[in-house]
Amino acid sequence: MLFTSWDFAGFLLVVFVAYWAIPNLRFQNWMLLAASCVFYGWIAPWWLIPLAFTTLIDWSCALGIERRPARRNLFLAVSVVANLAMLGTFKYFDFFAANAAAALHTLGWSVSAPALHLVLPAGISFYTLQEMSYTIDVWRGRIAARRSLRDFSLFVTFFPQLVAGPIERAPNLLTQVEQPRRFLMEQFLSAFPLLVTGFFKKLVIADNLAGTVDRVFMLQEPSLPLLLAGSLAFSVQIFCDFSGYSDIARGCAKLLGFEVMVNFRAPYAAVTLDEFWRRWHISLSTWIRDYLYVPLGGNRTKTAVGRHAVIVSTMTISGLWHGAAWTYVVWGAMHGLGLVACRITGFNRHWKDRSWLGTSVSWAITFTWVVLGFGLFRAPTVGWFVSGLCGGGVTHRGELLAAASIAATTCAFALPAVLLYAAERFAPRQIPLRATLRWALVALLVVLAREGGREFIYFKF
Amino acid sequence: MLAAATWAARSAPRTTALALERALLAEAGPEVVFVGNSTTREGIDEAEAERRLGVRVTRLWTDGSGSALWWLYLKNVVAAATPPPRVCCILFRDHELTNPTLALTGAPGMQLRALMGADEPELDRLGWSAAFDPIRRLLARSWPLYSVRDSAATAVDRFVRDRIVGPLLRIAPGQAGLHYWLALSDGRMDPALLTAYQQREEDQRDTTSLDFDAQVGKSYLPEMVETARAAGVTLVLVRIRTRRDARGIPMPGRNRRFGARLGEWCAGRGVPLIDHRNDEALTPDLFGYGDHLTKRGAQFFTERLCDEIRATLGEDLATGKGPVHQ
Repeated sequence: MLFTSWDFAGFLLVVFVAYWAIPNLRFQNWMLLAASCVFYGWIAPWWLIPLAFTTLIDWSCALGIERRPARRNLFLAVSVVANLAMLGTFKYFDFFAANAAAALHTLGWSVSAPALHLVLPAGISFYTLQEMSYTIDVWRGRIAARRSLRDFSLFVTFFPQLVAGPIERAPNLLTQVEQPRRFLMEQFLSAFPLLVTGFFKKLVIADNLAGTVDRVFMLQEPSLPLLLAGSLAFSVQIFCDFSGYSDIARGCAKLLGFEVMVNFRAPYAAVTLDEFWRRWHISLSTWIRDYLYVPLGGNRTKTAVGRHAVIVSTMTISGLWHGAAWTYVVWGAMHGLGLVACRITGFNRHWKDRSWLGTSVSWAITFTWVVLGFGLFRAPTVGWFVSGLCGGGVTHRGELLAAASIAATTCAFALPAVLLYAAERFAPRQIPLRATLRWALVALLVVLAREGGREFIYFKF
Repeated sequence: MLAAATWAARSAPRTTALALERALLAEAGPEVVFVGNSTTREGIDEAEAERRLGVRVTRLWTDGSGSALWWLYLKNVVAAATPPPRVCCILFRDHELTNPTLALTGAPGMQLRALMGADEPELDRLGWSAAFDPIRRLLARSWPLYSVRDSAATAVDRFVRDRIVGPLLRIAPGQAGLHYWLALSDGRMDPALLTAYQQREEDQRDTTSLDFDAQVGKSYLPEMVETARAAGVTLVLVRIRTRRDARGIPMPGRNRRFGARLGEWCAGRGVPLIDHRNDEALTPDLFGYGDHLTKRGAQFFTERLCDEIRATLGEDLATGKGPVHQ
């Protein structure tokens, strides 16, 4: 079920009323679990099968880790392998098979690549990481394994964040699942600004830019200005699409008395790449840090080369998590190399916070790197992106006009959200100003929202 | 702000627009009317058509419109004229003619509201009810602001292009759109990516929309045929060639089957269907931006179309001699 569909509006209303009408925590959780299954199975009921399978495996393995300490490593391995096997089968099998066949072909062996052509269940990458974090935390002894399959299942399937995150951790969400929840007017009212901002970002900004972005990235030979403008537009589109989803998820969770984590903190205001990754898709960045970067050695690696290799490999895996294509892999590696370059040059320390000019230059370099990265992320192939970047000159005046128009339209659509952010950041006490801006967003939402909302970009990841 | 904007949109001269369309048609007094969207505006050369057919010709178009609006043009303007034109040609792309929910909002939606009579049961049944759930149907039917939503976003786009960027680059306002769409036209797209994109778009639509037999009963097409027949207007359906067709980019499979069934349906009811989709003479160089023809392309297409209309009807429209098709 899409957040932007009227089906969801009706669904949320029914769930909200029924949920708060139930006085008992146990029944509330049963009800939410059932609602989450309806939400997830609405488009394709079979998606519930892999979800149930991994949920059962991880719940059992966590209990096994706790009850049989001698075999804790085995239980952890079963959990991790089951999750990765599920993800690998649905998401990566065809990609690796095709690339292996291509590699063998270059070596002189002609092999036809087997392909499964499986439909990827929405949100599989998100709930897989969420479940793995649970079993790893139990294995590390940071949390206790839960006996209640109902509560654990609700932790995994909680519908506001099931399909595209935030990737929650057990100490936050599972604890809330287990504790009685009260209807608090303040929390209820705080949901609406999030919902308005989320729907505005998605329906007005992201969906209105989507058509133009699609056309730019279908061009046979993109010129450099069009590629840059398209990359800028896509950077805004993907941020508004994904952070819009996160805002709506947080808003829905608040309506039900839950607090889910903040996933974005104005990432395009970041002055360094390090900072960008502390602000962008925070739940994934912190997951990667805690369950991949640190176990691989992280900052404790003895040699500088080793430290840098860990950063690049971690970011490359993070790129691959987004999808089975070389563009994602190279995008991740590009960010890894960028982070390494920042550390080698001391860019992080010396440029930012020095002066207004230094901060501005640092921001501009970071933003350009991020935008170029998203251009690569969206490109049909790595070669397409490189050829546009290196060789695509302007062949006629229209290209310049189109590029400038795309950039200007992107800014025009994003302006109201930027103003709201600026008001919240620089004038937090100006409540009337913020309220006025929010109502302006509502008005703009009514007249500018794109009909027939598109699927969220991160659904396919 | 919302109340003011609603008031402004509601106070648009709705009944005047219909009366104006009727008056303009009466003044022009055409024998042949071409109905469609911007492809009709750009693709039909009225002067050339009058030369080839020997009678007066008029175009009725709204940019971005679909079959709902064409149905209203036919019913409330063409068939309501006294006397009505003798021939009404409806120009459409792909399966636009049997998609009753296309372009119900935005600028075409405003024109739709303007051309509505007091009661439009077919539009309610086939258009609003099929496109929207009850809440959106109510909004779309009764709240003008809801109907203009798509056009507002387009207006922002156009304003930025024509009023800000165009002048900065010293491009005349009227030319900015043309330059823009030439830069991002189908002709510059990677054929494989474009085809895959169109396939995805099609798959995301209602799966029955390309099943002609399932769709025809949900469309205005049978009503169009009956209305034209009752008013003594010869209805001619013209499926135009798109830039994608001209470039030989393969059409998604279901759309091809749809075209074949449409032809059979029209033949069974004696409705002339002129299909230009495979007209090899309309080469890519005759296309301007999007599916719009250049001036030369419009002249060439009009010439060919008018000859086919004459051949199809088997009648010399100027003298009125020869058999009438319907």
